Amino acid sequence: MVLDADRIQDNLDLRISEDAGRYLCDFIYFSSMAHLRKAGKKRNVVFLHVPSDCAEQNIANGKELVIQLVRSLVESELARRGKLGKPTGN
Amino acid sequence: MNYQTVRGLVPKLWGDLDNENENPAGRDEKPKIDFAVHIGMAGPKLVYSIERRAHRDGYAMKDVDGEFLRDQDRKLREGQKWVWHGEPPELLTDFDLDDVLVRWKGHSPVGFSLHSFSQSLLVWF
Repeated sequence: MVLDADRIQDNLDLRISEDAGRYLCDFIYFSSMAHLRKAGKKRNVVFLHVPSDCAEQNIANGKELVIQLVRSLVESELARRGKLGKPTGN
Repeated sequence: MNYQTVRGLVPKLWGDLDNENENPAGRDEKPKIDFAVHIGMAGPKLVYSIERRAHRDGYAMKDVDGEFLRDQDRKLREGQKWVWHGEPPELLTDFDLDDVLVRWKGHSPVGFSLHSFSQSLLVWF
C-alpha cells in the first residue's frame, strides 16, 4: 500500500460528532449497531461522515483519511487489549 | 438509499454472526469481520466526523424514493416483532473514539514520516 502524504491537505477538520443527523446515515448506523446488540456482539462499527464536495483534492484527502482512520481504529483496539502503546499525539 | 432497503441490507452485510465461530465446516466460506466503517456524505462543509451515536426514533424525513419510515405505525402493528423492539433510544459505538481521534489526527498531518508508517504497518498486519 502506497500512501501519498504530499497529496493530503493540511489543517483538515477532523472531529467526533454526537449528532448523525436523523436521516439515512443515522438510520443505517443504528441498524448496524442494533443488529450487533441483538446478536450479543460488540459494536465494532463506526460511521464516518465526509464532505459532499467531489473536487479532486477532496477525494484525495478522503481516501487518505479513510486509510488513516482504519489504522487508528486498529491501533486503538490493539492498545485496549494491551498490545500497543498510548498515542504519541504528534 | 431508502429506509426499507437499508433495513434488509444490514443483516446481509454482517453475515451470519451467530455461526461465526461455531461452524468449522463453513468457516472458510465467509471471512470473519473484525470491524466495519460506514461512510456517508454529510453536507458541503469541509469536516470529517466520526459519529459516536445513532438514534432509534425521530426519522421524519422522506427517503430518496419519497417514502416516510413510519416507524410509529410499524411499532403499533408489529409490537414485539418490530425489528428494533427492545433497543434503547440511542446506541453508541464500542470504539473509544476519543482515543481514535487523537491517533487519527496524529496520523494525518503534512510531512509525516514514512519510517513511522512502515513500522505501524507491520503491527497492523
